[in-house]
Amino acid sequence: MIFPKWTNFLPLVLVVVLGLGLTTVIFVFSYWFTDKHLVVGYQPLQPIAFSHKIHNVDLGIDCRYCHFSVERSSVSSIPPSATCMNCHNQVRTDRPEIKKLKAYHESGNPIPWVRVHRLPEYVSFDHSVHVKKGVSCAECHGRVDQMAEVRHDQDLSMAWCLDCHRNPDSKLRPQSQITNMSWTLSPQERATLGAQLRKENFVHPRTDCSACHR
Amino acid sequence: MSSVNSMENQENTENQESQPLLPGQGGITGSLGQGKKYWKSLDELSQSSEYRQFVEREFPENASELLDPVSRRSFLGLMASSMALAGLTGCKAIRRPEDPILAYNNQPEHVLPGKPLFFASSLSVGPEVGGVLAESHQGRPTKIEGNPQHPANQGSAHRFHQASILQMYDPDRSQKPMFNNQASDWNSFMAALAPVMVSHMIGKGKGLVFVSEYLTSPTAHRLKQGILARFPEAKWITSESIPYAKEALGVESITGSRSVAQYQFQAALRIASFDCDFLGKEPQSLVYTRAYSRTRSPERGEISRLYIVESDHTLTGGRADHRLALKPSQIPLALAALTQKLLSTSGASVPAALSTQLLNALKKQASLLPPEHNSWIETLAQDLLAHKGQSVVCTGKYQDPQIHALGYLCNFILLALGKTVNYTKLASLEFNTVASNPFEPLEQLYTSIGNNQVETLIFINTNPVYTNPNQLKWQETLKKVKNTIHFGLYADETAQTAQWHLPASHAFESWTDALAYDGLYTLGQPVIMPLYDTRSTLEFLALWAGASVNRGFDLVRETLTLIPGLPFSETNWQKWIHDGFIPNTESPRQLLAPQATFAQVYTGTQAPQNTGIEVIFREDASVYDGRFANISWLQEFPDPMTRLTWDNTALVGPYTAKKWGVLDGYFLKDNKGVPLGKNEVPLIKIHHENREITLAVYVLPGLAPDTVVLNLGYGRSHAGKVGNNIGFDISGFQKLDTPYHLTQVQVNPTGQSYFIASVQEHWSLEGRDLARYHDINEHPHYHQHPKVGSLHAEWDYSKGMQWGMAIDLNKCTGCGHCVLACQAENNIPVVGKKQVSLNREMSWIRLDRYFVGDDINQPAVVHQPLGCQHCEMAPCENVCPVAATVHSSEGLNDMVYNRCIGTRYCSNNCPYKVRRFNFFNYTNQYSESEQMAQNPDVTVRFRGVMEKCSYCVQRINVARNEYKLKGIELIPDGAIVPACQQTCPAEAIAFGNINDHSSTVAKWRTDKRNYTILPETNARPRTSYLARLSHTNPALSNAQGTDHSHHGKS
Repeated sequence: MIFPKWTNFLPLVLVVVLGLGLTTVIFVFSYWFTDKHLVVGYQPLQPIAFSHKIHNVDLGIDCRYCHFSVERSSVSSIPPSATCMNCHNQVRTDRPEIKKLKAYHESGNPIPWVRVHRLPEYVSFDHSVHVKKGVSCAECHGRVDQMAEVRHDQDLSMAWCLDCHRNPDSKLRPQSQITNMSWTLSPQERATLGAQLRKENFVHPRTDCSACHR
Repeated sequence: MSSVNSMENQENTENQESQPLLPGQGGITGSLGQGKKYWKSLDELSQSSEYRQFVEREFPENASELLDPVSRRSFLGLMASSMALAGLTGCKAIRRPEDPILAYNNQPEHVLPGKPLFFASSLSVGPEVGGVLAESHQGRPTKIEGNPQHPANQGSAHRFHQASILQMYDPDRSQKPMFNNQASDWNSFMAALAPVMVSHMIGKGKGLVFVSEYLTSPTAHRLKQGILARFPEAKWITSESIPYAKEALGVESITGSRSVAQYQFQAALRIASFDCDFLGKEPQSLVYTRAYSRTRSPERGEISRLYIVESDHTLTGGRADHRLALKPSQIPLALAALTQKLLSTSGASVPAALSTQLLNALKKQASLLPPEHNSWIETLAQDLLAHKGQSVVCTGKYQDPQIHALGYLCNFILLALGKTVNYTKLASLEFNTVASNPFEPLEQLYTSIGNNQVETLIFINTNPVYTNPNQLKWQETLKKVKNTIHFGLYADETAQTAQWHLPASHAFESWTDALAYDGLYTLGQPVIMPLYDTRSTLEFLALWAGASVNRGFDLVRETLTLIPGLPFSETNWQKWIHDGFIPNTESPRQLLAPQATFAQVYTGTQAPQNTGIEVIFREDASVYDGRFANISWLQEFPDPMTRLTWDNTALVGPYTAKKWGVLDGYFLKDNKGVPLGKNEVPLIKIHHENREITLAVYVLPGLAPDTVVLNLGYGRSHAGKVGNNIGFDISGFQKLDTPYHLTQVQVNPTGQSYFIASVQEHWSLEGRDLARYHDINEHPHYHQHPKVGSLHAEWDYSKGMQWGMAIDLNKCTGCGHCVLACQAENNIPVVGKKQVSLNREMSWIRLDRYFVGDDINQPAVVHQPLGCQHCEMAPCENVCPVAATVHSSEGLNDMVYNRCIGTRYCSNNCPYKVRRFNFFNYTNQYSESEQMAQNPDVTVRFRGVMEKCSYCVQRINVARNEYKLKGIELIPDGAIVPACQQTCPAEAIAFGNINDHSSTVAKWRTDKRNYTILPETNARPRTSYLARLSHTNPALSNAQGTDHSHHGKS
């Protein structure tokens, strides 16, 4: 006897341990190290404390006043500081944040906003078609109108995108309500309305790879 | 590979050399026998075991590491020093690094982030002006396209135009002024200039000489007048190494008017070209290609017939129905013979005073032509005369003025004037020195410098130290000049010798104007702020002219206000700048008549009977005269005929190479008779008088016997990191008096070899004939194998939009502008010479050039562009282990770069070999400016991923979204134009929705000439081809055999 008796069970034990270990590792990575956990809730500090709540809810400024290219281009675009100065060369000029804004605008340097939503470089996403087909800002970006500082609300992973692309009904709303963040209906009403909108607006979300990866 | 073909019946190729027909016999050769033979190179014909080994592997065996020091050096040399993108290198940690969004402070008008804007601009290459559109992403131009409204381009862009964007972003461009090769600045230059200018003003400009490029700009001309007014005794010389004035001088000698021909090929049924490569290297090639290709459609009724007499094997020669390859000294004789026939048969309209005397002179010339060509010329004359008013004779820019005069006379006799050719003044010629030999004025300058008559010498956008024949020893001579100033894009060879070098703004960074070849007043706006501390040419001239305004914008506008009769207003200015030109400003057609004085002028060539070996010098298809040597896209662009990248060589025909002992049957051998390896060619030494040069030789079937073609533009020493020491400098071998033609040249093989990278055999398909070429009167049956089933469930493609492409080989001339357009649009990297030699070139479009026929000395040529065929049952999709290549619902074969793990099984399985693999990181060392040239709509690929033609899916997606925004789900035909189709001047590519029966592509697919390649693989490609037709003259040689190009036996 070269080996002690207990080694008879060693292969079995190894297989079980490795199997369990591998499963655990995969589970840990797929649960904790995905965008749902890593990215959702990301709320970086911005150079100027801009509050969407004040501007969108209290003042009633539509999203598209600042994010002007969302209906025409692939990006929604951050407004030039000149847009801010349209009002803020007169409004609240005493506040320290507005003073910061003015300083940036006059310096000629862009305001270094910290990017919150970032898709990988191999993905190309087009805002304008989504808006056109009835997807609201709130579906992907959450209740920005209630955010004092913008926060990453949804995980924006490919699986998440496909969930909607394969079943868009509950995410669609009429064109008039696209920027109305507080618009709600019950889930059944949304499903019914969504199905109707899908037919009316020829909503055929693409699931071909080249739609986004080109 | 069991496909039986007539070629593979040769069991022992070494003993079974076919006796080639004597070169020059009867145009495109006879004995095509049983089946048409398509071959890409002599090696393919040889079917040697080494050749077979080479083609059987898609990627010949080599290490996957960049170990070879030569290639590594040259590879690193490709990339200039880079500046890594701040903050984004390094591993992407689990916590994403902070990354700013930088918006504008004051957004410019019209800019919509994410959507490009197109601006009209222009640039000049020699006398040719291009009207282009620059695609600009938020102030950053990334692609050049033709301006659809500009008549010089009509929507196409020449490969030089496409590559000019990379030239603008070239990190090797000069960025600041240099004094004695040390960095300096404009203020120092202005300070140094002031006393020089003052002294010249006092001296009225004595000793002041300007040497400039060919000026096409009316503003530059106006400023030049201003300079010469300020310095009356100053001299202005034009320095170009490619001739531009021979035609105008020739036409002047016979009509009294210094005009040039504007051919109207769209109205021509019979075309006779004498060394006129109007589809390739002549000016207006884009216009002529479009017009000529339209005359080849059988749908329009009778198609045209092209005859050509040339020494070099050009693109036009490749498209010719009948080609006579003559030695360069014999071409004037052939034209004289033709003119004599036309004059004696139908010359009643020519003044008798001219014709009687001229006929004698022409008869003498014609008698020097070897008699075996007489019947060819006779048949040509008959054919031209039978189509009076619909025939035209064209002559090439390298030919002497007398040839152009004879060409004019032929056109006059053939009633071509006003129908198939218009003669107009070349408006920009008046801005420049007019000399038949462009080096003549420089020789005079050289002498004056030698006599100490030149004090200040200013070079403007010209590089004579490199381009001029070395008999002018510029480097020593320039030292005698007190002040030498060079103004140009690069610190090139001339800049090294000059005291001051001043960096020039690129055409796309400046306000420009130009007179196009037909006289159209073209305007160009800058599409980006100057990247470096540069000035534009106009601004530099304004310095000297003491102009009141010094910004390019003001100078161009000022010129417009000074033109009498031009309705200059702000509204018109906006419109003209928007369009890129001022309408109705073309030069008017000249009504010309031949004058009797020509009879005294015409001397003919005093051709000795035995001129021995002749050499001609031609510009290069990739680098022109050398100015584009540093553009990697162009260096790697395979020459359309030789398929050579990165080098120039001496081109000879097989017959001549055999005489020299370097070619034995189909094998290139060294002095000892040992066959050379793959990618190796012999080095030969050429002597003429007291000059000699050693360079590589390359066998190009179809060249005239005893003729060597040398391409200018290589062997540069100060082109930049890409272009230095590539190829051989030919200018040292040019003779000053006859810079483009030499006779009595001696050639000695040295026994050594040289490594070249030619792509002509890459992915050869060993006997399977992919290109189809037959006579218009034949109606071959294209074996389109019936659809067999599939193991997979079949997809229903009858619904929705399904993309397809059709390429008409009958229109394609092989120019290759599509290849450059694709490279620019899709961020395709450049890999360097060594990697190209290993089949690793990255261009998505492979432009195959096939020779056709049994005679290796007189083959016909067919070009076939291939990109991914987007097969409905794609073999590549089945074998990808990670589903990185999948089929879209619209018929595209999608390539998903981020999934690809680099197995290369897909390219292994691809029967067409159109997939390209990134063996190395070709893109991670781009300099900052080169990164700006990348198209943001297309992924820049990393090492280890496969890529291929995507039918410009980025354009499809953009168009689809645009139409969805308008509420239109079905995209109309013509809304989506892939980059290749957009730039093709021959309109040979059609792309669109094959389910839309009114679309062009659907119509072409139902044409009887339509076929797909390799249908037996059941891949069902979406790309199909329309066969090439020839329209041969039954009276000439033997008609071509029926097409049996598919493997007839199986």
